[in-house]
Amino acid sequence: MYLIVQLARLGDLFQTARLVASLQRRGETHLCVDAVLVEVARLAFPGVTVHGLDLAPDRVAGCVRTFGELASQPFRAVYNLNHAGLNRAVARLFPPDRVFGYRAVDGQAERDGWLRLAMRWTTARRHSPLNLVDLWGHLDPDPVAPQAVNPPATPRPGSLGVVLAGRHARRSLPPQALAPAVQILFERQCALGGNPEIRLLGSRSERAAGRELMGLLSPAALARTVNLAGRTSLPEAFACVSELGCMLTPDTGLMHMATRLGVPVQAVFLSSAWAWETGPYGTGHTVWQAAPPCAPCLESAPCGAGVRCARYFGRDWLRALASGSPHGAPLPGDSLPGASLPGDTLAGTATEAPLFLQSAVDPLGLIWHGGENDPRRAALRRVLAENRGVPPAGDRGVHEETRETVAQQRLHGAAADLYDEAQWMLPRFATPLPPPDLNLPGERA
Amino acid sequence: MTASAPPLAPSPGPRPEALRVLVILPLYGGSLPVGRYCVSALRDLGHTVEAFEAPDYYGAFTALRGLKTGMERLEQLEAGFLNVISQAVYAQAERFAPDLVLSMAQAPLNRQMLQRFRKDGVLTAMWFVEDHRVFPYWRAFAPLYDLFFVIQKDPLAAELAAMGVRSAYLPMAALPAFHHPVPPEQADPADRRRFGSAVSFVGAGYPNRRLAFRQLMHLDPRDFRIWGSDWDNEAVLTRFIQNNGARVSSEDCVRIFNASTINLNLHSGVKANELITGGDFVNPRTFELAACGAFQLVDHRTLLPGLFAPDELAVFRTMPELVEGINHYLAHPEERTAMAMRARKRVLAEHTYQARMETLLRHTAALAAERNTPFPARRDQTPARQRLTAALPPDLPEAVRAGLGEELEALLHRLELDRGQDPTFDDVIARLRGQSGVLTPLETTLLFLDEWRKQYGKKS
Repeated sequence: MYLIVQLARLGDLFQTARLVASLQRRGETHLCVDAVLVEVARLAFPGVTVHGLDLAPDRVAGCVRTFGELASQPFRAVYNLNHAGLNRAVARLFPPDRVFGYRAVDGQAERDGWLRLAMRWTTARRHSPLNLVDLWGHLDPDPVAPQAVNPPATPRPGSLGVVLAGRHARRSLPPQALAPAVQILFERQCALGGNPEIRLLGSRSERAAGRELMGLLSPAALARTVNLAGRTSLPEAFACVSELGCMLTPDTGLMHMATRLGVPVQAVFLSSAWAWETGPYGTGHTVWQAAPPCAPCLESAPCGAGVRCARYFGRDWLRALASGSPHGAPLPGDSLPGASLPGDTLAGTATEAPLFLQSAVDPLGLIWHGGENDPRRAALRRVLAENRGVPPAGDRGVHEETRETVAQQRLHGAAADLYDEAQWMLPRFATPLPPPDLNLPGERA
Repeated sequence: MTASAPPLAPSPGPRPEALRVLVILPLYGGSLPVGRYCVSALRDLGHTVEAFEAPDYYGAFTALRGLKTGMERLEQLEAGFLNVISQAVYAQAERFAPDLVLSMAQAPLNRQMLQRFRKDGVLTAMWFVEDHRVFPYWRAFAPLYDLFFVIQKDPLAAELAAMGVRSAYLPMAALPAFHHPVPPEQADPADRRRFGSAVSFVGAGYPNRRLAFRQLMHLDPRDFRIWGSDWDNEAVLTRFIQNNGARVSSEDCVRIFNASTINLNLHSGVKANELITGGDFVNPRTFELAACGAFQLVDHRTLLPGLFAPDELAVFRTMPELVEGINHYLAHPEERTAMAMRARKRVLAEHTYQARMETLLRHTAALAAERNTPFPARRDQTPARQRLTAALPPDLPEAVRAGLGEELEALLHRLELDRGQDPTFDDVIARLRGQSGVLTPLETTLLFLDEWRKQYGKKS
């Protein structure tokens, strides 16, 4: 019996999928989440027992009962995924030698060696080697294959879902930039049949943005548009997303919901959003990644570049979106609906365009075809694969070098980047910490 | 010996003499006793050896956790502390002036200090006595060492070569002075009762061992005893686990080996579905059991045939073979004894820590020769005793000087500085300072002289 403590947001819940699948393979799996996510967690992970913690300050005392439930269960291992005080408190319910991820030993907070590696590579996010789904997934010493986590996404008839905005304004496109993209993708869905709708998704605060977007659509598209922002519960959103044929979205929890359901995603990543960290997980998804030299930035820090990355989503991007390739052909008449686009200059289109990334997997986890060649990322992945005992593979599409040809100096440099010196010197980092999974054949934990 | 095992690859270069070696021990862990065996072996070979006693710092290091501070703050403090320990290593090296700094796996020697040693022209070596797959951090620090000795071959050797690391295969060993049989007439009956059994296992509760030993549930708890730590939450094997899974000292390990009829030696595996991993490296226990003349049933390892002949060890490849082996060898004591004797003979001939250190030093000497580096470094060749005497102040009363001359031999013997090494006056002083208890008048005199030299700027 296993427990995962995931007290972060909706998107983090879905990004726990690889770990959940890995543990479900071994035995009965429980999930402890924010109470507001209980219902959607049950929908996302059938067969998992979900416990909710009400994290509202005036209702925290009600968690005592849930803590009692958790403490009474004979969990073989507890995976505590968040570096947060609430998680540390929950972890204290269990003996430290059964807690993986973040734990407290005699009151001293600490983290697994594997998570220490992640802290090291986040100092150079540009070269991030591993998706969050895989980071958590590899807390299990033998996780399920990456392709077994979410259903593969293939083009299919159905409505177009449009997520209006993410958590931070800089990470989303304004309606003026979004509208032509919506038009393009809607027409593509219409071509697949089924009389699709355009379903605008988001929170109540995004309803106004939805109305603005609707004002920029063609009459035909407008007639098929439904503004659902702020009008669905999470379970209702789950049902709605499951019917979609495609989703256009920034980096949001709803995006991760779509990947969980195998809905093909066209994701717009800019500002602090970085595909290699939190991109949609599974095969068949597309990310349009703005990658100016300052990317990825810190969302909490002011932008000193005039939000340059937003200008990447101009006409060149739309042409590429329409053609489904990085080198888009001119659109008919090259006249596009909507007002002037970000990136439009008096002279014409923006000269920068986002990277066209298509998702795939290798033995370690999610990779991206297309985009810039990054030998450092390849070396980091090679070292991480070695750390996890995973057969090495090239980061195909980003860097074609194989194990034999990744320069040894780069490997040494990557290892030096990842492993802090304490990990050389302290035997507690010498061996992984597998959960004591000692089932006899036919026996489940 | 009735059959021969292929010899280890010959070591290059002549045998170096009279070296000064600083051995860096880890803070704790499995490499620690190995490091101490290396110190002992190097001294037996006639070299002047000091150990950096990292375990002395371990208590203070772990005390940081008592602060109950934030996680990042703790990691910063630990990193700072390890940095100080590395500097302490360098400080000892500055005083001791070693020809070679030999690190054991997990030695607290950071990048900065290794680079300083390289810049100073001090040769550094590590004996990496770990499984490179389980301890993958070697990739970060191996290139920082001049020599990297490992207990595995390819693919590790190829990876190291591709990185430009000079490496050599150096398997584990035993220390005959420590790992030895206890003759029956000297055996303590209490030890036999306390540590003895028909079948025993000493080691940590890795997943494969936990599952494998469940197939021995038919044995009586009086006949099968499991010793060692990390057997927590082991509900099935509880009745076999001794002393609630308390850690076993190296000394008690030897007692258990000697008191047991059959010693099980199952190499560790982290995957529960691989009871017998069939891996490559051979663990220290294999050599220690053999050196003790203790009979063992050991699982097959790919590097085992290169170390022992087939008639020297009872090897099993499957669990049924293990069970069958237990039954057979319990019933055939003469076979057990003969095999154990052959294994012991092999270890004494080829697999001692002395032999390993000699191999290590020959490789080091070869590297030094390639670099035209004197190895050992050029030092005053005046015999130690002469130098020691010359270091005494000229106005020392003759009676004292004469007395010192007679007692000096005894002092050097007591300080273990008379095994053909080349100790300096400072070596004697360093050893004296490290002595516990009350000093003799001679020893006090020497310390006093040292202080006198420092105060008045005289040098030895």
